[in-house]
Amino acid sequence: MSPASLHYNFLHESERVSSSPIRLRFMVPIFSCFIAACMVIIWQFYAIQVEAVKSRKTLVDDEITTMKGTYSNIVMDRALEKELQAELKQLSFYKASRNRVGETLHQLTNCVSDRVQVTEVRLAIVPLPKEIVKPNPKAPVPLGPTNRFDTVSLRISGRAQPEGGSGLVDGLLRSLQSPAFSNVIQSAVIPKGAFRQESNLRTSFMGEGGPREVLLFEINCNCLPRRYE
Amino acid sequence: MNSRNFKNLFKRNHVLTDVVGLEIGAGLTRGVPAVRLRRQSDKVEVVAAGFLDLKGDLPENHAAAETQPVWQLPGRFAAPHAALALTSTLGVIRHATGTGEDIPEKKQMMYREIDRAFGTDIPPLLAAMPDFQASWAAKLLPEGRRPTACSLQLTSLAAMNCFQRYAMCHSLDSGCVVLFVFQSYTAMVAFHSGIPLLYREHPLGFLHIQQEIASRMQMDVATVNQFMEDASVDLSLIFESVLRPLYRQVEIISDYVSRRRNTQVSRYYLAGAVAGESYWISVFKQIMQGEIDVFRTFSDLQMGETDASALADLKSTEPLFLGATGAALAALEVVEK
Repeated sequence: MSPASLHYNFLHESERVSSSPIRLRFMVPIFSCFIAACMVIIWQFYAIQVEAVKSRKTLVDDEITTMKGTYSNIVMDRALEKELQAELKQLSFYKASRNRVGETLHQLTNCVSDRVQVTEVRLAIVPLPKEIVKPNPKAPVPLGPTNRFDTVSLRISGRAQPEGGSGLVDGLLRSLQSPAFSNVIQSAVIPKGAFRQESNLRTSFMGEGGPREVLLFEINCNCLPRRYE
Repeated sequence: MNSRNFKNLFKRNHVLTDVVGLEIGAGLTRGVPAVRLRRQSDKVEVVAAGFLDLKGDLPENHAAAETQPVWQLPGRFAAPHAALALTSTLGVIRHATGTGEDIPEKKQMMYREIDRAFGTDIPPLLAAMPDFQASWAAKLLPEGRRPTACSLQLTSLAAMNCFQRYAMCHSLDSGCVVLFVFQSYTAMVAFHSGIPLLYREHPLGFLHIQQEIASRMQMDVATVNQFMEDASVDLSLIFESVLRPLYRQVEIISDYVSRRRNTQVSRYYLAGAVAGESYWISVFKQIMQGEIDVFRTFSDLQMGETDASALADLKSTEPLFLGATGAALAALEVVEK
């Protein structure tokens, strides 16, 4: 407005109103209230959420506290159970690996002549040489036996009268190789040098009046292996 | 809300660009003069001008002001803002001896008054408007509907404002006296470089001239205007007798301005005379031995999209829009805060 303005405005400031259909003096407070209400609602929503999470956390904490003892017991029981399960499994392996040789070897009495004396029957388990495996700390420790199977050998030692004794020992060897023993023995051999004559025995197994010289023999048999499965 | 208004929301100060000026209490049978102006860069365009079929009589007392009409303007006049010019017999415009001076009219009723000094040696120009009329006018245009009042002025000051803009545009540095002819009075204002030096009112208006002619020629007042424009009828003698006291006042004003304000009056202007301009000019020449120019209300304004017939009608009624146009022009200068 220039200094010489002739604009004498008699309108009071309070009489000046807006021509806009949106009346700011109404809309501003309404919007302010609306925004404030929205903020309160959002704040309350989050407050309720936080309160709910807090109460849930408290409940869970209480539950954890109450269950802590039980849980440790359960963990211990589970560990024990695992151990026992492993043992049972191992035992089942051992059970499965058991070769029943008693009945078969009992038939041995029928195959041995009166003039042959079996002095020793030794059933030996020969473990396989262990593979040199690089230890892996991450690999789980096997629960059962480390070997999957063991070879079993049967050594029969005895003596026989010199007359016809070799035939009797051969007969025994054939008997052992016969199907009657096939469920126990895979192969049977008389190792070299195992069939020999001995004369300086103090007493004869035939008694005081028997011959002083005897044939010593030894039969080595490869038995069916023990399978830990 | 258009983009310009939206941008204005974020401006601290912005100038009004679209205002409709309305003259209330003009006492015209045609209706309420309304002019819608729009500022486009440095030019002002007349978007619409016409007479609105509204009851535009100002209440003369408090009791009458209790009845509050509400106006709804036609779409082409629905600018965002309205500047109201009030033609009130109770309004006061005079020079005061100093600023803050109380007016004697205040003893009868409440007034809203403004005084403004235009120079150290020029007495302040005081204007006052009855409070009940101002508050009644302010409520004519309700909130939430275009337009709403942004300015409330007295018609004489609004008309002076219209001329002041013309003086500024044409760089009128010399002294001049302008006669603003209204229906019931004539305001005479001496300007110098657009600054009002002296304001006087003479109780001779266009209605008085009409009535004088009608009584002397014994004819209907309604047909007097046609006679005024009819070249075959000479009304010089009637005009001379009626205008002589008025022009005598103009002479006194010229003399006062030249002697007391040391400003030589070189030009005279006539504004607001609806009919009989030629008689005003010839009588002036006869009495004052000088020329008087006619000030056209829309002289420096661009006319908007108006058809030829409307434009012709507007030209014939142009003086009647003086108050409304002046009020709107004054409001266009307002810087909103």
